[in-house]
Amino acid sequence: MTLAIIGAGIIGTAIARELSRYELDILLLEKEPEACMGTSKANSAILHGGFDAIPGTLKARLNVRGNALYHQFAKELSIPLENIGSLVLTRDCDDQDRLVELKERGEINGVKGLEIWDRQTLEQREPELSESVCSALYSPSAGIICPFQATFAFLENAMENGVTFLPDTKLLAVHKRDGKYLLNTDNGEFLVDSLINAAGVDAGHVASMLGDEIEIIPRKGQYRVLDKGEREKYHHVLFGLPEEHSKGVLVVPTVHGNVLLGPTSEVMEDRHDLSTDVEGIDFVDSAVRKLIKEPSIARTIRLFSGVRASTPGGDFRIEESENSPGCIHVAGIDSPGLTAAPAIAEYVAEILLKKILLREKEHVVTTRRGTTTVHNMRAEERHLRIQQDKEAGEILCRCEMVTLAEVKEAIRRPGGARTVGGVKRRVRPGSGRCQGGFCESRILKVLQEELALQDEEVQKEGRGSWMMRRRDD
Amino acid sequence: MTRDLIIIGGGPAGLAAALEARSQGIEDVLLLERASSLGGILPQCIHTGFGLEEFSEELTGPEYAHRFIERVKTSGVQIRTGAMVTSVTPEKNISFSSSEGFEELTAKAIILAMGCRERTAGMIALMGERPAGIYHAGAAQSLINLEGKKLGTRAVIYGSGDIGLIMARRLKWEGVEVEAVIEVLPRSSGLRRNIHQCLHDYDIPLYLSSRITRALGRGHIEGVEVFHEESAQTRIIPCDLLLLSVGLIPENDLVNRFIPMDPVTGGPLVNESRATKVEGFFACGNTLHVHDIVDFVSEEGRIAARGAAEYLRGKTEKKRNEISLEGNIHSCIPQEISTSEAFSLYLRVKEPLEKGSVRLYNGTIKVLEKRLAFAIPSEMVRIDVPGIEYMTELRLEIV
Repeated sequence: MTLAIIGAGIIGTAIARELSRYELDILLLEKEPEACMGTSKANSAILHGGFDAIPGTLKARLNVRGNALYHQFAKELSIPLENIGSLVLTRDCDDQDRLVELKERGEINGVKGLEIWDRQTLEQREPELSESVCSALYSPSAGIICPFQATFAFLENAMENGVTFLPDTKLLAVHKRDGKYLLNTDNGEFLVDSLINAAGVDAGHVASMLGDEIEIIPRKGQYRVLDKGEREKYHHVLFGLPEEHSKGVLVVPTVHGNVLLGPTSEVMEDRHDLSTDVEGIDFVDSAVRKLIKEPSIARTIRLFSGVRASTPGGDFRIEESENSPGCIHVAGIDSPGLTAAPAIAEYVAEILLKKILLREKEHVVTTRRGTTTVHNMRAEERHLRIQQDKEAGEILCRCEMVTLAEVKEAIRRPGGARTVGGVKRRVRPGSGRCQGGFCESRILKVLQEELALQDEEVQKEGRGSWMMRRRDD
Repeated sequence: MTRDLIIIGGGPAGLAAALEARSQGIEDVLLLERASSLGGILPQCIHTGFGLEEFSEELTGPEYAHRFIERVKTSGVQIRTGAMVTSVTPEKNISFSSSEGFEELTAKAIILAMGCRERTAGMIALMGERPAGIYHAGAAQSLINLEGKKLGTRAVIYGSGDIGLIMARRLKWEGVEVEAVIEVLPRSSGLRRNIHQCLHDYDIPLYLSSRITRALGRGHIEGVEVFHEESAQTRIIPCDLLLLSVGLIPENDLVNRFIPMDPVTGGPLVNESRATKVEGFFACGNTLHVHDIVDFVSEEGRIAARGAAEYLRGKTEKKRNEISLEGNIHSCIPQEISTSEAFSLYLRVKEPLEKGSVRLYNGTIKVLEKRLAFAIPSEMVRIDVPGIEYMTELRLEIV
């Protein structure tokens, strides 16, 4: 049996990994040159506790389960994760009731260890809070994660267990043929028995190819990234009280040592609009000032936006196709989609197992080795490593201290980097304070050498993002 | 292992410091350079204008660097290239990585000469999407001049600092249409000679008091939206290449945890010997403050090396007197004085100035008054000060 997954974001790769345990031929189609190019690459990078989803919803159930699953396998799959906990802050002591309500909701959802902290406790444990904050809901199971590494870990583990990854393969149309589905793509045709729609903001578009209607409301979030050194000020993920369509603006320490401020929550006409604007960033700044003492805006190293796929009902839409039997939509995966991803994958497998008999493979690889980074090694260990591979001593990126060996590994790994952005998401050159000012020319050179690319073939990100022209152009 | 002097950075500041350290009689000098060759940013600066002060000749960047490198190579300085310093401690322990291994050394004295980096799109809050085709001007210079790459056919340059101006002309020579140089301030932030030689001579328009409010395009840049302050008008300039030349920042990330910095220059607070406030650490070149002329960088390298030599010979530092700044002064190097001998001050004005004067007071006594016929923020002014015997409180003003 052949199954195709459309979209290699966190959801598509998590499903690919989960299903790779079974005797199945799995094709993972991605329209961009690499995995992790949509919502998965631009979000708040949080593991949510799961207290604010409405009890009984898929979001409530899959968030709590997903959080637990990451904690189970983060080590085996080398996914950077820190269990720092989160705080939902209130400024008006009359809002205390809302915290109690959230706490009760969380307990119904099965979130463990929720506590309400008063101002005095907060002053000890989170000293950089704004003067006006008076109490908070503490969730110990919340944390931070690298969404890029999570996606790559799922992808690599899936590929190791036999999944075929097809980047640069955009789905154009689906034709039914004798109970099967013929996928027409810009990279050839594929005949499959089943299809899983994990196309993120494009899930509505893919659903229409299967004769179904799923309404996706694209919601944009704008962020600031602050330089290293700022993270030390904050000890938890900081939220305001949740708003109707979002969890509000946050202060997020990242696993890489930066701080994210954001996001906005703007309904968009255009689901691929990733622009930032003055209004959005000003909104973030003023919202953040309600949570913390003066943020170090001057230490911003980058602005970015991500678009998440919401649904009118507010819950995830994970369901069988009405008009294309055997196909499953995994749509409307906005927050807490990153946290829920492994649980969503389990849930999809459950739906599939009800329909068809799947045999488990005899041998399945459950671990994945992360990139060998020398930066955190002890001196002797690092020295030895360089003796084995001298490229591990050659530092290309001075801000994040990334070596030539790491950049090459990022490209050579299964489903590896093909673009400047892809190298950046895997091993971080260009994510530091110089934003590639020094290392970009070196990265271009390594990409060209490793992948035998002509000047005009090197891309920053997705289609059309050329970096250089032919000399004789 | 303990070394007498370690110099971090083999650009113009580090090279001059290394040579001077040897002529001051320091036997054991180690120069650590992260790139695979010496010279810092000079090898990519293939335009002329270097060396007028230093050699009384007009040289290109590579030629200027070559003269120093040749001398350093035979001077007895130990040189390690491809050696990236990864940490420095206040106790002067240095660790560095190279293809030979990960090494740890201790120095008796350290000269910081790490240079500077370019301000980024995020720092200036460039709005819009983040398409390909936006390069830092220095990065573009390296790709074009050292790698022979072609980055686009129609360019806009943001920022009229020297690198931006020089790159405007360079792109023109490469056959690229240069649509405009956009400057936020009502004046250029580059040297006057560069405005003439790079823009006027090639009819490249300079839009002053203008901001790029948006980068247009998704995959690749398609244009910029430019807002003109006075007319409150917005125009779109199509382009497939945007160079950012929006300022330089001294690179002090290795030491800014423990060496006190000047918030205005972005570099360490130093005295006339370029000694920082942490014993045994000296700083020079763009890591101390951003220069506009390389010749001054070399000179500063030598000053720092003489300071380090005196320190190694065991000379103790006298009490430091901070110079307070008043009037039209943006910054001053050094910030502190601890000598009774003559010294020089390197100043930048805040606002352009005609027929002004610089005055230095020691307490209530005027030590020096010098007329300044003309000064602009982009051109550093050097003032030589005679020795001051009984120093109390120093106050410097430009009016």
